[in-house]
Amino acid sequence: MRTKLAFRFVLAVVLGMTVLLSSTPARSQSDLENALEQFDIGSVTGYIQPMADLFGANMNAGFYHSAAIPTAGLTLSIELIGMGSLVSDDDKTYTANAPAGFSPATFQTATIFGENGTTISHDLDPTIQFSGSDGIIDASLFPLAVPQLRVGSIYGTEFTVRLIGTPSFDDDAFPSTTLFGIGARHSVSQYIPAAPLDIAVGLFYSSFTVGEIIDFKGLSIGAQASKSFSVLDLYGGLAWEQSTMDLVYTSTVPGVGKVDIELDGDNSFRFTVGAGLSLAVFHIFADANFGSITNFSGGIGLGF
Amino acid sequence: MKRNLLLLLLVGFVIAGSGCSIFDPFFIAVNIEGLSGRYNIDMSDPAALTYDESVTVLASDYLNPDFSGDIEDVSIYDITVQTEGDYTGSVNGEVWASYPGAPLTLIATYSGNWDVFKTPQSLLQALLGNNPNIIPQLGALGFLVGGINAEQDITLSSTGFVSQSSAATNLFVIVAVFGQVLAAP
Repeated sequence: MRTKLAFRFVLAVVLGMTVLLSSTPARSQSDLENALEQFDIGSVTGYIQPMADLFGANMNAGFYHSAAIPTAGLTLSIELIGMGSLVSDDDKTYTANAPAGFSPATFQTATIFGENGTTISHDLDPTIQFSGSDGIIDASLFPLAVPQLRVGSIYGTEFTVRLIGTPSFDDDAFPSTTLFGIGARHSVSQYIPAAPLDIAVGLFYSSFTVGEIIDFKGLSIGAQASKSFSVLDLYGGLAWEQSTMDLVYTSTVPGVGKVDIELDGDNSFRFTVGAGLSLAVFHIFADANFGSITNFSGGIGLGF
Repeated sequence: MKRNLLLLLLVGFVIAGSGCSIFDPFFIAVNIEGLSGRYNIDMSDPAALTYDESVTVLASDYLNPDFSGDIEDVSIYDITVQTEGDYTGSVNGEVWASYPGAPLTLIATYSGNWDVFKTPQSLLQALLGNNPNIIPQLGALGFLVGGINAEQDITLSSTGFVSQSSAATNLFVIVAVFGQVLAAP
C-alpha cells in the first residue's frame, strides 16, 4: 500500500515535472515501465500517443512573455513557468487491435487518459476474452511546471535555459526524470527604428527523459511581437514546432520482444496571445496557445 | 530550501489547478507469462508410441510479481499446440489441466501431421474454422480462469500417440496458454 500511494504521489508530482534539483539514475524497473511492458507496439502507440501530443505541446510553451530585448546591457530573469494542455474526449480512447484471429479484430478502449479499459469476448466463444488496460491519469488539463532562466543581452540576443530533475522515488517505484531546455531569441525591432511593436525571433530545444524508456524532444522556431502600456505588456506570436517521444522497452507480449518506437506530437503550429504585468522586478504573465492542441501557460518572474 | 519550497508551491498550484490526479484504482492488463508445457516425446520403442506428460507451473512464475495488488479479472485469449523436432509421422493428443482442489479437465484435442504443428496451431484459428487440427472444449477456458484467479499452481498435461517410431530424441510437443490478469501495481 505504501508503494502504491508513493507511486501515485510521485507520478502526480512528476507529471508536473517537478521539483527537487538533483537527479539519481533509476537502477531497476519502475511501475510505469512495468505497465508499458504489457503492451505490444500497436497497442502502446494508441495508449500513450495522447501523452506525446500533450506533453510535446507543454514542452514548447512558456518561452517568452515579451518581445522586448535590449540591444546591450545585462538582463536577468528567474522564472517559474506552469503550462497545461487541454485533454479532449478524443484523447481518452483509441482503437486497439485484438490478438490475431480474435473476433472482433479491433475494439475501443482507454488511453492513458481514459477511464476503464474495455474487455471484449470472442463472438463464437464468450469465455475467450481480451482486455485493454485502464487509464492512469485523470486530468482535464495535463500540466507541466519548470524553472527558467533568461539572460541577455548581447547585440539584442537573449538566452533561455530550463533544467530540472527528479530523483527516483521509493526504491525506483518511479524513475528519475530530467528536463532540459535551451533557446535563444534575437530582437528584430532593433533594425526597424520606426517599428510600433517590439519584434523578436527565437529558437528553442527541449528534452525530457523518464528513466531509461521514455525520451521526449521538442523544437520550436517562431516570431513574437509585444507592446508595453505602462506596467501592462500585451504579447503574441506564431511558431512552428515539432515534438517526438521515443519509447524503448522489452514487451512481455508473447513473440513481440524489443519495442523501439518514435511518436510524433500532434502540434506543429501555434498561435499565442498573452498578457503580463511588470511591477518593478516582479513579473506575472499568462497566455493561451492555439493549434492542434490548446495549451495555456503562465508564470512569475523575478528579474531586471 | 526556499528554492525547493517555492518550486513545490508552484507545482502544487499547477497540479491542483489542472485537476490532474491518478485514477484510484487503475488496473493494467498484465500478460500471463510462461503458462506452458514442453513435453519431450520418446518414440524410440515401436511398441509404445503413446505419451502422457505433465508440467506444473507455479503461480509465482506465471503471475508478474511487479503487479502484486488485487486481481480484478482474468482472461484467456488463446491456446496453442506446437511440435518441435524433425519427424515424418502424425500426432494425436489431448490437452488437460488441473490445479489443487479442482478435477482434471479436458481443454482441447489436436491431431495432424507433425510438420503442420511446427507452426503453432491456434485455438482462435480453430474457432474461426481455419484450423481443423485443434478442437477446443467449449467452456474449458473458464476452468483455467478459475485457477488463475485463485492464484493456483496449474498443471498442464498432454496425452496422445504418434504414428510411428523414431530414434530422434529431441522431439517435443509444446502447449501454451495465453491470457491476461487485470491487476494493480
